[in-house]
Amino acid sequence: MTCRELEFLIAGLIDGSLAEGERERVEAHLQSCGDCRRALAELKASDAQLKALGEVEPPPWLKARVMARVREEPQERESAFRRLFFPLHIKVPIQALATVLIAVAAWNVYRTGESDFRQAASPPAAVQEAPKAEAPQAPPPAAEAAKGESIPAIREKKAFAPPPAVMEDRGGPRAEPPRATVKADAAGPAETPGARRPAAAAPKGEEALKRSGAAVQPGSDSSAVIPAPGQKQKTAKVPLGAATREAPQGGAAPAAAPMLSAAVEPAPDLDITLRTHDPLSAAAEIEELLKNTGAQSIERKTRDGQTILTARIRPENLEALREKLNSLGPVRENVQASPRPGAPLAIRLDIRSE
Amino acid sequence: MPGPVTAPLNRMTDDEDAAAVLRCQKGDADAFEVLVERHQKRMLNIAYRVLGDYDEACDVVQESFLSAWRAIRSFRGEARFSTWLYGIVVNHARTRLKKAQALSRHERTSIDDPAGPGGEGPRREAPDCGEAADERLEKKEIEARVQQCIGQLDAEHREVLVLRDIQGFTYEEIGGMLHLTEGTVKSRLFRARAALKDCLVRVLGEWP
Repeated sequence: MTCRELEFLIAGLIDGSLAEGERERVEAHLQSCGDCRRALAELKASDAQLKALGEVEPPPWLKARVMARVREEPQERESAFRRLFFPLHIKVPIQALATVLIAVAAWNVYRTGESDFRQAASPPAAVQEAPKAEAPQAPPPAAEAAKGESIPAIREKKAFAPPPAVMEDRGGPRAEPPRATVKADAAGPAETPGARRPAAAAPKGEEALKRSGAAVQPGSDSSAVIPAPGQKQKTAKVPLGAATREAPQGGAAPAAAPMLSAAVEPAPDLDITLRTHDPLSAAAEIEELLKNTGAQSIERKTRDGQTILTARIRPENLEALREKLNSLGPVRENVQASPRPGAPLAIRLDIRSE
Repeated sequence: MPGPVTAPLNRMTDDEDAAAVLRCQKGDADAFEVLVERHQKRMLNIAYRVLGDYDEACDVVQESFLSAWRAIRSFRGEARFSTWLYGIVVNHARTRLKKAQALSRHERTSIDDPAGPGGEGPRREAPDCGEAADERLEKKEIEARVQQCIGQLDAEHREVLVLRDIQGFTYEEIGGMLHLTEGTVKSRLFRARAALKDCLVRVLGEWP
């Protein structure tokens, strides 16, 4: 045995963990090697010094301080996962049940909304079909041109249009989208004169507005008082510049018109603005034409150089009226409501100086 | 050395802490107090011999108990609870030692004065009435030098030396605490003993 080998065995000798054969070999080497005897003595002395080290006592406050901090700790230190899912036999079934209930509720909401959605989508489809049915009877070229613009607009928006009656009852923001749909349908009435918007809804809305004292514009119903500028730009036969120029005024002028008549009279199907150098004489000429064509309920009001003519004309006479108006000056048409096929067309003429 | 220090834990047929641990896992803080009472002294002595500073050792013991309380639900009883607990205190002591070494790398450590800077000194067991004052002084001086030598060991050597030669844990228990193999523990202990012996020869002069 070498001194190097003995170094590794001395620890076992100190611990008393050496096997009997190893112990004899170690002791035999120690008999013959002074250095190893000395090394063993030093190790034993070192070990004795370590074991002689006294113990320190914990301070009396240590336990109290530890327990104070332990008790400050939150009682439940479970992970978020454990809090969510444990105990499994209680929480998982509750969570599964809640998920099913939410899914059923969501499905019901979807189904309810879907029926409303379908109900809302169907009337514009009828409006869209009407022009096609009426077209052979009165296919004015101008209307045909407009038809090309209007039908895609209907197709785009009809899916979002609720039925007119629902629209009127609900009012407010819900009423606006249907109005947009009807306005987008602007060219439709031009080629299918006589068509009218749903009759039941408008008076209801007007009465409500009268009761609430809200400002009602002449010739408009309760839900859509001022056409949006974007919608105005869709109106036919109007130079773009004129439409843009008129946009703010278009909203202001009807507001300045008499309120009472608007509340009493039904809203027009067609709102026409004529710019001419002599509004009074133009109004007289147009009134004459209306009388000659058998128009009904002709009314004329003049205020501050602006003349308002309202009348009910037969759809087949609309084109003659347009020709007359075009001869007098620039014309801008704004369809307020979809007319009922075959019924007289309510028009409102706003004649102003250029 | 008192009995519990020298008696290896593996002689116990059963884990005496098992019932209290179970109650602690259900959130019973009173049961934890029993465990604190039972193990605080040994934990403090481990920390004190590793760190060489009584106040630091007290802090480490507090932190260790708090860590044990927080993690007691994760204790599954693969080892003795005491082994698990002492492993925690060794880890905390090691962390504290590294911080202290980083902070005062060029300063003289507190091992020359086991009481620590400004400390009131460790509380010791009452001395034997028949022991002479000069003998107590000499013993205290020798203890300080031994502690100085322990403090000069690497942290990994210091840990195994304290756990084996001072606290009397088995190689298996030390391996469980430090997550080392038995062979690694023996190898470290061999180097630790050799280094300590060399240091003691140096500081104690003609010795033994």
